Amino acid sequence: MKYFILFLCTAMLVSCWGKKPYPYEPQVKVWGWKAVMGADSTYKKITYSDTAVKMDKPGKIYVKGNIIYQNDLGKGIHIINNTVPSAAKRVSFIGVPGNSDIAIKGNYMYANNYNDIVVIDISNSAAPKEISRQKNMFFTGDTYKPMVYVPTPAPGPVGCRPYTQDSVIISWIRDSIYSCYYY
Amino acid sequence: MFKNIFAAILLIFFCASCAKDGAGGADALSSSGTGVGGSLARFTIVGNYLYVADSYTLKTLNISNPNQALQSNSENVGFGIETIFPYKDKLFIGAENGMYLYSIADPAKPVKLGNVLHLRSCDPVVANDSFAFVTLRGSGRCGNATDGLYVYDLNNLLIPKQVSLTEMPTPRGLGLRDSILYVCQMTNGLSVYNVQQPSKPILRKKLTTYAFQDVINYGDLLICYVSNGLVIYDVSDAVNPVFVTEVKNQ
Repeated sequence: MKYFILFLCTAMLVSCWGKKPYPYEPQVKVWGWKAVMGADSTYKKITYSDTAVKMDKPGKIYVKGNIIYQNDLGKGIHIINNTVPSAAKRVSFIGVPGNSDIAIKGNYMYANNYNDIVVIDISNSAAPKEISRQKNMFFTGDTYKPMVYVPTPAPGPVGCRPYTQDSVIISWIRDSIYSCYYY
Repeated sequence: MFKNIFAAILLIFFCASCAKDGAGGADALSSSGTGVGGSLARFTIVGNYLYVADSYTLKTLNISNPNQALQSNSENVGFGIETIFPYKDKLFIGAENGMYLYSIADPAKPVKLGNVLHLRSCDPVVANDSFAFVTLRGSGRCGNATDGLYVYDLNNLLIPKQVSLTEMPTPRGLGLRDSILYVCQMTNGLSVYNVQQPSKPILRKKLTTYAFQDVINYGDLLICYVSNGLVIYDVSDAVNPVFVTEVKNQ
């Protein structure tokens, strides 16, 4: 099995360099974004800050009751107290690496932690708690247009994703790369 | 072809590697309400099911027990799925190659009703009983469709029929409040349309203060995701949004 996976990984990489990844032909190296990887064990878990955290890259919004939730791309979810809309402000933050989307029912928030779906008990607003997780729910193997959990700092060609098991893209650095796609 | 096979193998591999860890207290649901997402959402909850879209598939998870959300179905939809919008017993799925309609009459297993295929673009959807409102943005990595607001008649769900196209630059998320439609246009602002006659949307107002990405109409509020964060308007008078506040970085 191990060799089979190794073979698959190699094959995927080769398929990146080899044939027509639309719209770029990565036959030559170009200046672009190279992924920096981190271990699942470090990044597939949630954290919590009981004070407001500065917004970095604003993302999608979600509303329930007097609370507005706003994603910070790739980082987590800001909790905004909207009891008095004219004084709405960020009050706390749930750190969910690789997050882009959430939905809430009752006291449970469903959020993507990279390609895992994590269920967070938010009944105690001062101490959100992970209660379960579905691993690898999203397909991430597309070289043409993969789900991107941590956005590149600026648009540009992106290197083929290194297929390393049990790791995720945590940031990007400028480097000379074989471009797999463009963001 | 070669790549598709790899994709399939990898998909099987990922599915096979699914596992559960973590367990938790058995807290009873103290409130069972569901929140509201924007038109750009990839997640939506209807009843006891969470619907999730990745690039190609619509996944259905039974969440009646949050301690163990179980996938009940996975459906190949289209190409470059971006958004899910729920309306009654339907799901509207915006993909790069079209809009797909699914019935969730059986919530555990969505069934495809129909679709509208179009040129490559990015396309969030909102809908009411009779019409679906879709923005297509053909610029950049999204593709080459004409930028604009497309309205489809849903009388025949199997073959939604286009009733109008209102061209506009860089449309993105959108939100409906009765017969008023808010269309985010990124750096081109927010357009307020009267869509009483969906074949002829009428531009009533335009706000250009922020770079609008998406909106949620919640009660009398219009909650807006803008490029630098969050802005709230009062829309008691739907065609005249009144600025309430901007949530700033403290």
